[in-house]
Amino acid sequence: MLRITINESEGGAAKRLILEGRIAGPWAEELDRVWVEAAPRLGSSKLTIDVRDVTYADAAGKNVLVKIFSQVDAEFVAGPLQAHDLATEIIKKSQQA
Amino acid sequence: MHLSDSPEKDAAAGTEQRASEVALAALENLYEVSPDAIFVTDAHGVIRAANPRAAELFGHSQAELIGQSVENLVPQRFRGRHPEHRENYQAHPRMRQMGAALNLYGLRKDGTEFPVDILLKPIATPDGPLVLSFVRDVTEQREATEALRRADQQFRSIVESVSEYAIYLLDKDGSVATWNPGAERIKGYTSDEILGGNYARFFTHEDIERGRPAELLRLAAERGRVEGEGWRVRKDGSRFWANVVMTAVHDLTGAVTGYVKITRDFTDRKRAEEAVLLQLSSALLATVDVRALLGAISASLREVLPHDCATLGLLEQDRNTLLVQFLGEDSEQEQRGEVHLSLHGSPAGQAFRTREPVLVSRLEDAGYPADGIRHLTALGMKACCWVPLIHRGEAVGTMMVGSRLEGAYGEKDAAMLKQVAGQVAMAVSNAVAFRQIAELRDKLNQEKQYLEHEINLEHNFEDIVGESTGLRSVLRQIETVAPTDATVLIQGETGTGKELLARALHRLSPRNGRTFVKLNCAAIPAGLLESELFGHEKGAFTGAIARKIGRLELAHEGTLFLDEIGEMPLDLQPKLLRALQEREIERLGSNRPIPVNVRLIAATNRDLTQMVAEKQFRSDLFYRLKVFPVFAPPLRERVDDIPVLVRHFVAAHSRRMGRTIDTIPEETMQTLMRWSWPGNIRELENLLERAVILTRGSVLYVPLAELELAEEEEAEIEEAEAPTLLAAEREHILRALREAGGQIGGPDGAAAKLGLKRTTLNSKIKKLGIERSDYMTSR
Repeated sequence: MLRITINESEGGAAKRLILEGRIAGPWAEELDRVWVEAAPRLGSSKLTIDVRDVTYADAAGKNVLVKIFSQVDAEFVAGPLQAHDLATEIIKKSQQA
Repeated sequence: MHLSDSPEKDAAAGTEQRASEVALAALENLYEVSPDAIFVTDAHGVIRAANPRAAELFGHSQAELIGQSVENLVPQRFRGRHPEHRENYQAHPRMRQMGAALNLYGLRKDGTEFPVDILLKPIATPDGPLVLSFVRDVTEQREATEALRRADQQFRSIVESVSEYAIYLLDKDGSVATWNPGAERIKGYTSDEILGGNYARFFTHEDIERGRPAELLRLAAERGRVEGEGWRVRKDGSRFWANVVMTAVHDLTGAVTGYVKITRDFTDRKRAEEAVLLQLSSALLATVDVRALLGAISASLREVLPHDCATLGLLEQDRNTLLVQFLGEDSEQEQRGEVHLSLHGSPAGQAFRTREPVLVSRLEDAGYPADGIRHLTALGMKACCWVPLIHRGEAVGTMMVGSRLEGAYGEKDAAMLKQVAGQVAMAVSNAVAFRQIAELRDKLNQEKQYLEHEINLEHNFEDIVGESTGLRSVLRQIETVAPTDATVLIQGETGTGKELLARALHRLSPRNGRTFVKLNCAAIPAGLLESELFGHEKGAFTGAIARKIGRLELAHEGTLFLDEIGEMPLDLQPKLLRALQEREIERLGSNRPIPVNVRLIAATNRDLTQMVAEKQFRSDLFYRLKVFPVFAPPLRERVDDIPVLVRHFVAAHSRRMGRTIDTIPEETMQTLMRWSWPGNIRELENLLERAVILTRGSVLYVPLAELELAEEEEAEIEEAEAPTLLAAEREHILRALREAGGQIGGPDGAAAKLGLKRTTLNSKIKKLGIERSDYMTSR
């Protein structure tokens, strides 16, 4: 299960994509679908991707995160070690891409 | 007096004379008081005598009448032939009634006429033949006859002109006595063909075999009137759907003399209804969503039963109410909604309880409480018709049509709606059953996934091992509370076997045949915990791509074990409390209550009392959980159990790994018994698993150095946990920043978490040299 929340900061200068749960299987596709819808509305806003409560991401989920991270000016919020490792992996992959 | 030679003859003659005298007296009186005019005329038509009534009737005095020609009392237009009639009568004198057929009239002195009937009687006298005439004024009789004739003519012209109705009379045996053009058109018989024939020929073969024609006559005779519908047969053998009204005709004694029968051809309406039912049936069969049913029903019904609003109510057995969905139009806008209605105090409830249609001509005056009809009056409904939905003898709900026109519906409409209701009830039952099956399927799938997941977990504590006093005391408590439904709160350090105790509780409880469902509150992200507990509908939030059954629902009639309850977010705690108290939940994204009967076992290694004091845990939930607290003793308080546990784990892991270990050195055992086991049984088991792996041969080798090293590490940790004040402050701020996702201000920001002003925190960050990269990860 994955819960996807998009919050907008005051003035709309920044947006926060909060992900909670597993980014795997059908939820990876759902995240991709949500991102395709939301990306045009983002404009030049800074995007913060909050993965602190992501418990697992499979290859497809990571690919979606790489895609998001590569497309916009984004940064990760990653608290626990597991989320930190995920964020690091995504950053590396997007740089390689 | 003349006497005969026979006393008997003399007596008889005397009696005869007295009788004549009496008769004469009666005649004299009759002559005076007769309601009829009496004339005595001679052979020339001259009046010789006239009674008082004659004077009154014709406007002449008796004196004026006597000596006058009777022809003066006859209107001018009849006078010409009157002498001829008089001569004919004199030629053949006899008593003769002259009246109705001849259409006779009398002429008054004032020239006015009046209808009369006349009785003539010849009288022989010594002076010659005379004629006694009785003249009766029949004005009222003629007027009544004329009125009757006119009424009959009017009725006939009506009956004859109606071609949409077959209107005819039957005699008391059912033979056709009259026939109108409508009957000829509808049934195909001409008058000549059918008059005198029995009406049974209009019935179908099946009805004739069942004796239906005679039964209808009997019912009409008993009740006075019967009404019904059914198939009838035309002359050409084709069938038509007849609406029939039959009324018995009685004579003055009350005996049935025949029947009036009115038949209408309702085939077109019947076909339209059948088409609607067919259309409805197709729509309903294709609709497995109960909410979509109402739209399909309304659309199909509209053609035969015009309405401004329709409702569909389904019984909510757990609440003993009807959940009524309504669909109407207000200012050309579709209005949809649903209400919960009591079975008492609402017309829908009445239809449900009585299983009979409820017809209301003017809703606001029908005497129902406002709550029971508000959803309809708000839409301006005046007339409504409810029918029960009955499937396989069970009332499952109600349906209704409503109109803004007062008195819009009658018994016929109720009958039509009742017919439709049969199909709707079937469709509703199908849809409900389909939904239940889908839910059960989902639940089973998720139970299966959950149980598979459970099986894959290593549950090596199949039994609780140990004989120490502390453990025995706990097990006695478990045995005591297990058969009840009481909530149990298991407290104890990590690794003390809290889940094992919870499973034992479930196994010993009457719920052991149902599911034991576990949820670790610390293992689920806070944002998803609510979904995990209560479930969600598809689309409840972004990412909810399918319906999910929550753990509470999964554990229905079983046991729910909430591990690490102390980690449950504060905002979720009242929702759990409400679910426990109300015994019902709502999935996220749904307002449909779902009953849940769950026995709750909670566990924590936190000090909940302290958390309540610090307002980190709600006191109401705490007291709800703490109905029966159980404390799982730490291993260091069960030292006597350590040898048993060691042997148990060594045997279990050896068997799994295919090893044969039969000796545990006494020194090793003593060391294990001395260790404080901060990780409790879990720590002991992990160490022994490693020991079995490392053992070469049959004597257990335990890496005791690990325990010594751990003692040193613990000392170092304790030392590290006393850093300098600045380092501690820096670490504290960093943790808050990480938790706040880098956000400093705002209600969720780090400053709020630390209880500092935003500006104060900024200056501290600067002073402690904290960089964004210290708490944020980015490219």
